[in-house]
Amino acid sequence: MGQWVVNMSENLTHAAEHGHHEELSFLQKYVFSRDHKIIGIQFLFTGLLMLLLGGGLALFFRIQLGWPGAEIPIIGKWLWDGPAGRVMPPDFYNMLFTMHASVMIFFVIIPLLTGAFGNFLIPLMIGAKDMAFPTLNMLSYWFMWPALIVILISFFVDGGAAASGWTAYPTIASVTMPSGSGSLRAPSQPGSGIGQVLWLLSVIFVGVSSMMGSVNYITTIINMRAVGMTMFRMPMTVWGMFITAILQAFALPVLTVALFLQLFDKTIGTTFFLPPSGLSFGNWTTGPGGGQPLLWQHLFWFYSHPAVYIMILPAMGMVSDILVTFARKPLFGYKPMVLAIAGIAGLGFIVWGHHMFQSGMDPRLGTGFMVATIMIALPSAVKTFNWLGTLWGGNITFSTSMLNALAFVSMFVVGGLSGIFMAATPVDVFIHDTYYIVAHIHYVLFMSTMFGIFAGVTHWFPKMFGRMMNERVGKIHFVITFIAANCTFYPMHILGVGGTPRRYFEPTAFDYLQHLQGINTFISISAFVMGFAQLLFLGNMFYSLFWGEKATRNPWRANTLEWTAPSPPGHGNFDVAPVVLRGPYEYSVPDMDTDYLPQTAEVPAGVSVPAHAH
Amino acid sequence: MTYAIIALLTVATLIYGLYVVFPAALKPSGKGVKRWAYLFGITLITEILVFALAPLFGWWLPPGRSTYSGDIDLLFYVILAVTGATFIGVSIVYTYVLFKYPSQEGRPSLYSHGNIKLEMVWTAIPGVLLFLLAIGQIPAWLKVKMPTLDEGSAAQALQVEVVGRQWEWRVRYPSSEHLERWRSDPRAALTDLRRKLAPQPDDVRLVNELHAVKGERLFIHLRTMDVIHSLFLPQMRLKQDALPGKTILAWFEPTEANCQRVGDTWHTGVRKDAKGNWVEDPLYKWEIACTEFCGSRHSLMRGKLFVHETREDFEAWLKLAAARQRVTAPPTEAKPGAGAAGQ
Repeated sequence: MGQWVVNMSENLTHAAEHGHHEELSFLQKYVFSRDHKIIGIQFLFTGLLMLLLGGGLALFFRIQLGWPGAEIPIIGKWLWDGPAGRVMPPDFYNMLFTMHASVMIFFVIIPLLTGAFGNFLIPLMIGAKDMAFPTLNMLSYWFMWPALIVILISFFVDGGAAASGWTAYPTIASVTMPSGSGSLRAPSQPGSGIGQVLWLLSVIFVGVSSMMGSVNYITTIINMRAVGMTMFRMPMTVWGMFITAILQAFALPVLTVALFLQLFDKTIGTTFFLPPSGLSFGNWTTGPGGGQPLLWQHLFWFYSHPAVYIMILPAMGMVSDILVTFARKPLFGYKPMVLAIAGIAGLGFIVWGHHMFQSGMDPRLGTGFMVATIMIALPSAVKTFNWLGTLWGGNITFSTSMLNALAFVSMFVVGGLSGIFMAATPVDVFIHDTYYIVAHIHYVLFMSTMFGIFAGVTHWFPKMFGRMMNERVGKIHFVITFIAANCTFYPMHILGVGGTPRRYFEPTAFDYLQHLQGINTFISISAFVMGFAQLLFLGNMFYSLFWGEKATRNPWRANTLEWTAPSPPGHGNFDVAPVVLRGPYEYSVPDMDTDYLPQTAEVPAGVSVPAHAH
Repeated sequence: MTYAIIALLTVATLIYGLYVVFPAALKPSGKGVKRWAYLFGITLITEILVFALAPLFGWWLPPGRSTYSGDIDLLFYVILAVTGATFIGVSIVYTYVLFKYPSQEGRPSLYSHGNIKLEMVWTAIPGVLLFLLAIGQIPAWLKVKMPTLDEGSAAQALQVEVVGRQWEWRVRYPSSEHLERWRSDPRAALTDLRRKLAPQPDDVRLVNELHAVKGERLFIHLRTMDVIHSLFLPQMRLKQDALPGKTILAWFEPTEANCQRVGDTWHTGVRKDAKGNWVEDPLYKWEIACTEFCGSRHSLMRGKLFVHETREDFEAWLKLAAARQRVTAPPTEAKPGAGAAGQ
């Protein structure tokens, strides 16, 4: 890390001597930096910090599910030492699963994939000096901080943090009851008072940050590619980021509007989501409304379905690049892979209603969404087959990043196939809102995306920090996580088939679920093993930052442009502006001494190589 | 027993994990390498086996007991077969690749950018399969969610209104006299169906229990007073969200009965055996659950489903429930409150 700081300041001084920039202050270099690499690393550290919070929240509520009604050790004494004992109250449980999902989605996965990897890698991989709008880039990071502060404050306000699920459905989330004392309270549950308002504000800030980032990425990729870097010579990581940015740009405004509408319902008395008949909560009734709750679901899912593709397409791109590097083989079917990403994204815009099959929406509308949803399995299947094709006939090295990328491929198959069950509307009648859905979600988000993040961090750590992560610890982390995570999330499919509903504080109240309780305990134990294993990964990162083995420019002997820059690159990234001669996947070209051929390298005499990736 | 199996599996998993980790982590090349293929392969095999063996442990779908549960379960099994076959196929290829292609000195990688013909085959075949799957299931969906409403089906069916509220199910049946009116004038039943079973002074009101009759359709007018709830009857394969401001029509027709009259109360958890005798069976305790998050006691919105063997049995219950409800003087002896407090 120290060497990294030295490198950075040397490079910046070097640039200053050439009269490009005046000397920057510490704040301008490292805090309010407009360098995409620093911003990417800022997103990385913030995201990983929030991973600890999001994961911790989950482990907390797994205690209740594994050992219902048990006294919570240590924390129970601080929080609930009262007549009910040190047992978790249901409202607290509801807050925990709500905040777990909210933190993971809005503060971990999206910032890590798009903010950290997108920022760091896009300019480097396309041969640009920086993003198109460096100041906007800096703002997109710093807009996360109000979001973070607001969401953290929400844990401590009257009524606690939001507790209506990350989906925040009206009317449990949206109705507020003006109380005499002036504080905002909800009749449906404590967390839907000020906590829900802060949640809405926080997510609005996240949305603004993401929209800034997406505009930047699209412009940079279209306009700032190096000489010779045509669209079809870009690595899959960049394609993934590009299409993800388009998804963000088109879907986020709808969510932002929906968040404002709910905010207005809660604070200034609008009734976008309140039905004309009004509602009665216990002794209190709302007035008449002028809207309907289903409107929120449409607006919310119009964003949140593309959001799930935002949360996987960058990882798919990175995994493609990592598989190719460690199989020493070209990517199988470059153009079909690009088309598949575009297909997933395009179809992803017309399937949002599959979250609403049982909602009371007209069933015929459901049929339309069902057909589109089932077809979206097709591009995902094509990608999987192409990954297998990439590995076939290769020379596979089982490095840490390769292992994590391999896990992505196999576990994505599970997640993708389980999705077909819920796409089928009649089957969805039974499995909607059961643990089958929870299993699917976590197979695509943890078992796929998170392994993709582990792979990406390990793979690009040398480029980011000039040091290697420890392979041995990386492998131990991988094995424990892989086994423990499968033990945590796979049995959830079985719970779901048995009919176990989601978001249930008390899993033992129903006769028809009694025999499944042992599975809940097994899941909780596995979750704790999995959770603690992540300390190995974070410890590895932290240790390697300071004392990791020094990295060369191209430790993985890879082809893409970022590996021609120093590790870490200085301001301006490249020693000389790159000129790209071919696609990124020319590995094991026949008649060559080496098994890789960087995009900028001249081809030796007598060797023929296609000019474009197929 | 379950705990023992789970503990055994956990220990086996941990031992296996350690077996993989140490040699493979310490010796990145050579014999240790095959262990990665084993790790992935055994994980995938275990996952396949879990789905294959879960039914043997009773960790599976609660048996379906309605006229459309067969349609739903059939689709589930078709999808399970297709996805299962795909998963097995992909896992075999995947594991084979990991065994066959670890890095080898002197063996160059296959220099190939892909194979368009192969791409077309593995796009077209799943594409057609998926499309057929999509189109093929539409009739089942429409049958479940858009029942035909005509005089005939209305006259022969029962109707009930279920209102969800934090945190109970308020159930309202038309009285026996009202049902009599439907028998004499079938159009009245259809009118009530279209008018969402408007409340009458002699309605029978219950909390957290639903009654139906074997072989007869029950239409449910589903409403909510406050937040979104969702009515879930697992064995009937019924699930419908209750939306504030709307009355949504759901329906089911049970194929088996699960309750028996004992004196003046009805008990669930029984079924008729082959000889026609009632036998106890815990799988016949059918419940109502809420499956849309609705606050603190979302997981405690538990109700009971009583399916009567005959319409006469149901009407007998209905009359008793109505009578219990119309107590005008304080009871002189301990009596259950409104609604049949069945077990």
